[in-house]
This record gives sequence, structure tokens and C-alpha cells, in this order.
Amino acid sequence: MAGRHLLIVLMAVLTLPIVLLYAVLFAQSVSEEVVGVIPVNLTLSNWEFLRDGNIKVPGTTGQFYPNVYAVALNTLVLAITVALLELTFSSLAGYAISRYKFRGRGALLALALILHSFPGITLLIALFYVLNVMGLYDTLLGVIIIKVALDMPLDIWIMKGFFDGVSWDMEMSALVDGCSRLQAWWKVVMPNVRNGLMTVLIFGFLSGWSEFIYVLTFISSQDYWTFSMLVYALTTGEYSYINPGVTSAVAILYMVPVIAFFLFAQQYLLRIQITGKGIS
Amino acid sequence: MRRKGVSRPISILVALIVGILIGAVIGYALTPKTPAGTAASSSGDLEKLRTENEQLKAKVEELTKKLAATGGGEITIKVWTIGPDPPSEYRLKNFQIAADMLNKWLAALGSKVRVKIDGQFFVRPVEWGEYKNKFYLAYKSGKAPDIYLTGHEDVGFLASNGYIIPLDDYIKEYWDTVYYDVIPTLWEAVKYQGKIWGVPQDTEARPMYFRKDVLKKLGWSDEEIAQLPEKVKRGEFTLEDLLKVAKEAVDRGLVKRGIVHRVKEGYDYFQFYLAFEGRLWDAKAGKMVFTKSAWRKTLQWFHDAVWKYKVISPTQFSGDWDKDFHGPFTKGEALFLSGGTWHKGEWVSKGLLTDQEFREKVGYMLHPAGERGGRPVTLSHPLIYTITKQAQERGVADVAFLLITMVTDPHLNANHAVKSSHLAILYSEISDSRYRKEPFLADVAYMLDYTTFIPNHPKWGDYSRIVFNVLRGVESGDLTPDQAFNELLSGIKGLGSDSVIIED
Repeated sequence: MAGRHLLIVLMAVLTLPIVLLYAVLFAQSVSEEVVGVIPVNLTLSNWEFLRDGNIKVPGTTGQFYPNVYAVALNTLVLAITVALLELTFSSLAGYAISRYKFRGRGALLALALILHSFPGITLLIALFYVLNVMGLYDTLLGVIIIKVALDMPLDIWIMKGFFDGVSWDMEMSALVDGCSRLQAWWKVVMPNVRNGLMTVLIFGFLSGWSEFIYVLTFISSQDYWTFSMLVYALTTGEYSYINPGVTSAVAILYMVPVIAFFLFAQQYLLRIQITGKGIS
Repeated sequence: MRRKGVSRPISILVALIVGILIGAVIGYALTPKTPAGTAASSSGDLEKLRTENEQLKAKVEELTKKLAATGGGEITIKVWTIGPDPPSEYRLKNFQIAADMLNKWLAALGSKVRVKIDGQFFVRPVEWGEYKNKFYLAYKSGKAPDIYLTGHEDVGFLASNGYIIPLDDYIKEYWDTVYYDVIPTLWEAVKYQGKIWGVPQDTEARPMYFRKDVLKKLGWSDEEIAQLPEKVKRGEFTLEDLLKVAKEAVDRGLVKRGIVHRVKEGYDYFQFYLAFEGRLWDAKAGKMVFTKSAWRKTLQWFHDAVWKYKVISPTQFSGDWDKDFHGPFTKGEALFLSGGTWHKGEWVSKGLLTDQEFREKVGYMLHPAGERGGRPVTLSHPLIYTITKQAQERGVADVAFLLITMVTDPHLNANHAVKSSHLAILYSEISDSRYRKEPFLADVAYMLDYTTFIPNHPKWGDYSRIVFNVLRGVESGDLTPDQAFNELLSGIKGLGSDSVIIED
């Protein structure tokens, strides 16, 4: 019992700095100044940008960052599309790899892992070349394709693990009962890997929502900015120009959907099983 | 299909505007204010001008009717500009003002064609390097801006690689509208291989700022302080003296830092090389120059500043703009600051200094000569508007140049110069009422007599980067001056003798 209490205290101490960070962030967004974690002179003026979505570039008289609502929409489109595409492709690929034996299957899985091990930043030049050839530089679609392609290896492994866990007998029964392979996949196997699908969906959404480096590199037009770019611009300019209140408010706005999504999906995250039955 | 749709109204629009502008110029020449003795005073010439004016008026009416018949449309001009300091926002804002003006003219003429600016003004955290990278990526993808603001030193690279188009014909066409008024030396900054590739947007000087209040505490009289810029001009106060005064201030605990300089890659430190009588450019040969003796002295000076006099921080080159540059100086914690005229604009804009505090506490002078009796220096880095090849391919280069001509206006350019503390590019701008109210700009104008431009050479970026890396090594203590010199020489040799002249 004493050990359990000690563990709770230890966890609380370890968690406290993170909690304090969020507390300061929130306090900053609703006040003119923060002393410690205590907000001084409460105000909602830092949130005024929500009226029309416009945030002025500090130090200028008439230049604005991209409209916050347009930024939110871009971020949402990026995150949802990435999540749905990853879900579709990885569920099909994971099933095929789990269920079919074909030449190069082992090599394919190994290659997928190797591809996933490359730091994304080392691929920038090659990716630019590909996007340029496809005419997708400076488009959200270009970033979406890159994200999906680079996330796929992990997603395939996750889904393969879940498909491995579904009994072959169950699928065989469906086939004997007259289902086609695709029907068996859709009607019998997929409901049994719901947790895996949710996992891929969650990871895909978070991956798209937080994407920064590819947006920074492959988007030149402010029309396609996402939240990560806006927060980057607001926080990493010269200190004298930074408005901590507005910056904190935008950061919170950026976090809220993720927190909400996490609360909704955390039960599925706890059920991840990637290992499956191997490549046999 | 789109090109066909756009090109016709564009050509009509441009012809119309050219007609209006030429008509306006001729009309101006015909006004009673024309001084006696000018060409217009001759009755024969006057008659000729009147005839030309009538012809132009008829042409304008004809074009207006044609334009009305096109049914209208929107011409979008993509403009990229950068501060990176926010007060330089008029580099873009002026285009928006010009487009509004142009659209009013078009509406008044009954045309349905409208011009729209799709503009971007990049500020920090985007620095010059990232801005240029974005341009190259966008260009390679066929999504380059039509008007691209950049440093004049990029002209060689951009022109030789076909990114931008020469503007000689346009400038001739619009010469009497505004370009006759551009301060002539600025044209040198936009030339490459005998052609003009850009229109000057602004220029500046790079003063050595000093804190008058700190010098007073050091025992300097008001008169001595006031005379310092003059002593620098006469070569009586050298870079060595700068180190000594800075050291005294640090030793006596009056300041934490003797000298601060820029914290990122840039061109400011070439002033020290120029102060030691180094040469950067050989106009006849069209090559960059590496003067060995000057580089040796420069590297030694930086080494001594950090490690002997201890007046520059060894981490200055990896510092932060506010914490290690603006902050220490504006708070009076640094005695000297090697900066640019635009920094005054930034300090006021950020609230780091008021105008009054600036006048009372801050002085400015040229960068002192390297040796007694030598010539002090500064460096100018005019920014220029260029038109990309892709604008020409889209058929909007004519409209883009028209907009550049409209923003090269004394009133609009003064908007930028006054707010951001840059210097005038037009003679008439100097007499603009707002410009004249800014004494700082008038005070530093003499520095342009001592200025040097960065070479317009395609490999200038490589030269600059090699120097930056070596200087950073000297300041951090990773390289001795000798090691740094050898590394520098080796790097510069690598650029090839067809690019750099190496002299003793």
C-alpha cells in the first residue's frame, strides 16, 4: 500500500511540470500577464482573433497571417484525409500480407520497416523531385500523399498484426458459406480488427494534424498553411515582436481538437497489438 | 485557353496605361510651370508636343473602347517580398496601394479588367536563406512569383540561370515617368553583363552605432562624442581604437559587451575587410576579388576582439537577434553595435527605444578604417524588384513592370523608407515631407559616399558562405587566424580563377 502511494507521489511529481506548462499556457491566453502560474488582469482580448480569424503580423500596420479559420480547415483536411487514406490502404495491404503467401512477402515487410526507419528530413530533396514531377508542389494534396506514403509501413505492420490475430477458421467458414474473399474480408475479418482500424485512424489523424516539416518545405503559399505553420510563425520570430497572449490562445486552439479526439479514442489506443504472428 | 483570355486585355491595358503615362508626362511639360528655356519654350517644339498629345488622347480613347469590348477579367500578379523585419511591410503594401490605384483608373475608364495582388511578405522566423530556397523550389515547380524582391547581389545568379528577365527595354520605355529620378549609383547594383535586371527598391547604409551615455561615463566630453563620427571620417579613429575603447568600457564594468554584431549569416562583416583595404569586385574583369593581406588583418582583428580584448562574445554568431544584438545595445549593456540603418526603425517599432531616447543616447558613424589615415567604410545592399521568366511566360510581365513603376514613386517609397529607416532611392523622395522629418535618414545620407556594393556574381553566395564559416570558427576559438586564413584561401580557390582574382 505504501509502495502504491509512493508511486502515485512519484508520478505526480513527474507530471507536475507538464501540467504547469499547460496551466501557464492557459493563464497566458486569458490574461495580460502571468506571474508564476497566476494570471494577472484577466482579459479575453487574446481571443479576439476568433471574431474574424485575423491575426496581425506584429510590428506591421496592415499585414496579417493567414486567416485562422482557413488554417483550421487546412489542418482538418490534411489530418482527416491522411487518416482515411492510411486506414483504407493499410487495411487492404495488412490483410493481403497477413493472409496471402507470395514471393517477396518477407522482403516486402522488411523493406517497409527499413523505409520507415529513414528520418523524413533526409528524403526532402527526393520528395521535392517527385512532387515537382507530379505537379503537386505547393498543394495540400502533395503533403497528404507524402504523409500517407511515409506512414504506411508502420500502419501495415499494425494492421498485419491485427489480421494475424483473427482466426483463419472463422474466415474459412465465411468462404464455405459462399462469401467471396472480399466479402469475407469486409463482413467477417474487418469487424474483428476494429481496434486496429481505430489505432491506424488515430495515429493517422494525429500525424496529419501535427505535421510540420513537409508543410514548411513543400508549401510556399500562405493559402495552405496549417496550424503548425501558424504557431511556428507566432512563436519563433524575434522575441520583442511575439505576443505571448495571442500565441498561447492559438496554441490552445491547436491543441483542443487533439485532446478531444484523444479522449474519444484513448480506449482503442490501449488495445494496440502490433506483434501478431510474425511472417510465417 | 487561359493565356489567350488574359493576353488580350493585358496588352490593351498596358498600352492604355503607357499612353496615359506618356500623356501625363507630356501634359506636365505643357503646363505653365515649365521653366523658361526648356525645350517646351520653343513654339515649334510646343506645337509638336501638342500634336503628340492630341494623338495620344485619341489613342487612349480608342484603347478605352477596345478594353470595354473585352468584357473584363482579373489579372493576378503574384508578388513575393521579405522584411525579414516587420517594419519593411511597405515592400508589399505599396503594391496593394498601387493595384487599388490602377483599378480606380480602370474603373474610371470604363474597363472591367482588374488587377489583383497575390502577395506574400515574409517576416522572421523566415530569414533570407529560407526565403530564397522557397523561391527556387517554387520556380522549379513552375509556381514562381511574377515579381520577386531580392538582394541585388543575386542578380548574377538569377540572370545567368534564366530565372529573371532583363528590364532594359521597359526602363527605357518608362524612363521619363520615374526612372530618370533614381539615384544613378543604384543602377550599378542591378546590372549584370551590361544589362539591367532589377529596379532598386531601397538602399541603406551600415553604421557603427555607439552609446553616447556610456562614452560619457567613460569620461568623454559632449564635444568629443559629437566629434567621433568626424574623427572616423578622417581616419583618426581606427578599428584598433574601437577595440580599446570597448575594452575600457567592459573593464570598468560599464557594459557587459564591448561590441555586438549580427548573429546570423549576412554581409556586414565584409565591412571590416573593406576597412583593411580589401577589394571585393573587379569591374573590368567582372570577377570577385580576394585580397590576402586584408583578409589576414580581418581575421586577426576578429580573433583579437574575442580572445585578446574580450569585447565580442565567442558565441555571437550563434546568438539570438534580441538577446544578443538588439537587447544589449538598446539597454545600454553594449557600447558599439555594427548594424544597419533599418535597425533604428526596428528599435522604435519594437519599443526598445523611443525616438527621443535614440537621439539622446545613440550615435552613429561609419565603420572605422583598419589603419590610421585609412578610409572608413560602410556597405549597401540595395534590394531590388525583379520580374521572373515565368511572369513573361504567363504573359503578365508588362503588368508586373507597370506595378513596379507605380511603386517606384517618391511618396510610396517614402512610406517604406521612413517606417523602416532605409534610404531614399529617388532624388524627389529626399524632399518628401515625411522623409525630411526624419533627421536620422538625413544624417546618415553622407555614408553613401563611402559605400560599397556586394558583387553581382553568380558565386557570391559561395564566397560569402565560406567567409562566414571561417569567421564563426575564429570567434568560437575553433580556428586560429592562420588556420582560418588557410581554410578561407583554400575555399576561395575552389571557386575557380574564372570567378575570383586572388591578390596579395
